Amino acid sequence: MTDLIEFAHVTKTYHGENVVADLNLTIKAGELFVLVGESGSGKTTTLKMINRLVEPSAGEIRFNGQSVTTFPVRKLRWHIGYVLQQIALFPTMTVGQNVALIPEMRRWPKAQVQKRVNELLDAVGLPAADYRDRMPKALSGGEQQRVGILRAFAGKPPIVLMDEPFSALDPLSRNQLQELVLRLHQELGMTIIFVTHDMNEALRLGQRIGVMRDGHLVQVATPTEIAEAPATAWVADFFAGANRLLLDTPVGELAQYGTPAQGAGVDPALPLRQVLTQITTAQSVTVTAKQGTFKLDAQAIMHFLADKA
Amino acid sequence: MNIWQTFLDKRGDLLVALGQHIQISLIALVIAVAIAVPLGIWAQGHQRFAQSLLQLTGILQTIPSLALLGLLIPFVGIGTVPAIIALVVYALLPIFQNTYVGLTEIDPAYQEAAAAFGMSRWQKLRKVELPLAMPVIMGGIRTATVLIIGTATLAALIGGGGLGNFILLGINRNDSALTLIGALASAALALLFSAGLALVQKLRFRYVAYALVALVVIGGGAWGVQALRPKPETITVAGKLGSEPEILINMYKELIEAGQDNVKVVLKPNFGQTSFLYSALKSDKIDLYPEFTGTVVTSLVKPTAKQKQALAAGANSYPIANRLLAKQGLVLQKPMRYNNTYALVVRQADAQRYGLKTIADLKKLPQAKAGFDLEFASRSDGYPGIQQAYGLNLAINSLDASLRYQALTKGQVQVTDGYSTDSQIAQYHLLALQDPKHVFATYRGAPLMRTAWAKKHPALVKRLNRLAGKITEEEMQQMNYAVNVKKQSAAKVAKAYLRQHGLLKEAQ
Repeated sequence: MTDLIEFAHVTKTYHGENVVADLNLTIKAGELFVLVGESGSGKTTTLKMINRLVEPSAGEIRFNGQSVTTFPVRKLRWHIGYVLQQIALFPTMTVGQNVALIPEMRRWPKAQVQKRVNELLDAVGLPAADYRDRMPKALSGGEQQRVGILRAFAGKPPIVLMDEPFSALDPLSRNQLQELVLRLHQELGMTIIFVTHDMNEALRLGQRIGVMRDGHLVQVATPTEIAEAPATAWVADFFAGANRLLLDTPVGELAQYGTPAQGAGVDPALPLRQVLTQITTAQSVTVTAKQGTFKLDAQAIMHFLADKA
Repeated sequence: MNIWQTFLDKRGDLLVALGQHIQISLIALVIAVAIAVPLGIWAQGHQRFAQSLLQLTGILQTIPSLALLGLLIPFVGIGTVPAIIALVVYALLPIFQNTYVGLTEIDPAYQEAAAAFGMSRWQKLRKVELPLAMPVIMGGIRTATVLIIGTATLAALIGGGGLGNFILLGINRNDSALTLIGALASAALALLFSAGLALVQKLRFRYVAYALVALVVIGGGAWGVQALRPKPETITVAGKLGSEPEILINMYKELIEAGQDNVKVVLKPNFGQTSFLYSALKSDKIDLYPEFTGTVVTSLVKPTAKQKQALAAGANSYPIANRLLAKQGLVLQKPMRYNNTYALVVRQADAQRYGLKTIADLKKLPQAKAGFDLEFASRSDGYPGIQQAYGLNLAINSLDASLRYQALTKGQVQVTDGYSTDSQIAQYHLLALQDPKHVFATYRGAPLMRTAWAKKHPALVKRLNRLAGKITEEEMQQMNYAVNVKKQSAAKVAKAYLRQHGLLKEAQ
């Protein structure tokens, strides 16, 4: 496989702080590459520098061996599909108009655009006859992002960037859309660069995975290599976090499902399974974590399990 | 004060005012949108500028509309233009503000998506930003529309026309029905426009664009038709000094405009003396003016000796005058009934007491003292002619013309000279004695015009001749009295007479 995208000593500085520091990375043509890391690790910034939504402070990014700055920026973007976390289907356009956007800008013949839109919609389980003339807000979140993906693929770009596209969706939709991405990649064979904070998602989708932390690329490897030989202890932890049994999750990590509470509670490092009895007998358990004290009840646990399952 | 009746009477005027109002408002709205929307778009990338502009337009809006109109007069004068400028100034803020805010508040995710798909600045604006901000922008336009239609009523104050004319006229005449009709119509118009724009808002952006284009085409077409339509011919009617000519020319105006001819009458009252009007008529500066047969034969033409003799013998001066005028390319239309000539005037009380009707009856007046002005006392067709024809022998005091009626009413004299239609005759209960021996030349009034002009406007001439044989001395005295003493407008007096005598109606 030839090299399609190449980062050479790329640094991005915001307000004197390196968000991305001296990044070197090569992505091959036809690859499904996943950038994974916690929020603030610099993965989204890295992604946006490819289609020049963000300009690097130093270093160079090459597309087919040529610096991306040598292309007219609009032409460059026409050849790079983009899927947003916020989905951002244009609410004043129909589903069909949203999908047709880039082919139309590239002045494809009208009949060809229509054919492409219909084919794409039919192919992802949104029959064109039914969905093409609907407005985006009449669709569910999962359906909207399906259209969002089609919009990015419609112009047959050699490369598609996806910025945490499924993180706002429910687990069921997320699962279906992950399958869709794998299927489209297999059928169409373009390069996909996929950003996520979810190691499970990264492991499921990525042919190769780049793990980022604090602006640095910690490890670039296949899922198997990461499982077998994590580059650092932190990567091992991050990977383990994805693979451990859900009931072994430290209760401190469930803060977002709890409700704020007062008083002393249990140790946040305590695995979830050890507090379950207390919840069944006392309705709830109080946890004293670094970020504050919170209360977990049966419903909170259910939400957590539903999200991670 | 019946509103319904007023409405029925004035519905034609109301329609015209409504049309003007809509025209002014629409022009102002289109200009305001054309300025404020692009400004709001441009301000996106210029935050600081946008803030100062918001403040500036805010300040502009706090200027009372009347003050703004007043401030504009020295620069752009009066009429429609300053009215439109003021309305545009008012409409800027809501449109600019809503355009700016509407565009600024777009979710940045849409902006990012538009950028990532390689849209140009214009594509982004047209396909994404404007449609997203459209509800907010249209809200601003609706606010501006209601504001404009309400404020446009003030246009009447500076001659801009519109529904404000009704309100203003109502206030002037203390006619609350008129005011109410103007105000109600303007409120209804504002509601209608607002509802129409709300409907437009629900349509797709493309249809709105089509509607705008259609509006411009229709507006342009209407303007074009108006520009192509023959301009009304201007007819200039002038009059000599005084109330009587002014009343007459107002009657002419009413009569000329009573038909369907596409003409506009310009009046020039108190235009000057006989010679001035006569030369203005001959040099095409004016088209007609009221003239008297006596004046024609004594001042404007030169009668032959034979004609002079005939006139002295009391012959009708009208055919003689016209025969001589024809040589100069002029024509005097058919004269009215009254004879505005020299007259000997006495108190009515004396007339009743001594049975005075004609000049000859003055012999019945014991120890009559007469007050004449110097000219009358000396000219041959004045007192000397009277003395000869009627064999009178009065004691004569010379009196200045301005004092004679005063002297008569105070009893200082019993007889004085005057003109047969003087308003004082009605005012002070006096009587002009008849002149059966025709010592005084007859002065009967009629429109004087160029023969060519008369041939070109037969319908107008026909209508002017409805006055032929109309208006008695007493009626003219009363009308002069109404204008000179009661201070009524000549136009009103003229119209009232024509109405009363059914002269404005086609069926004669």
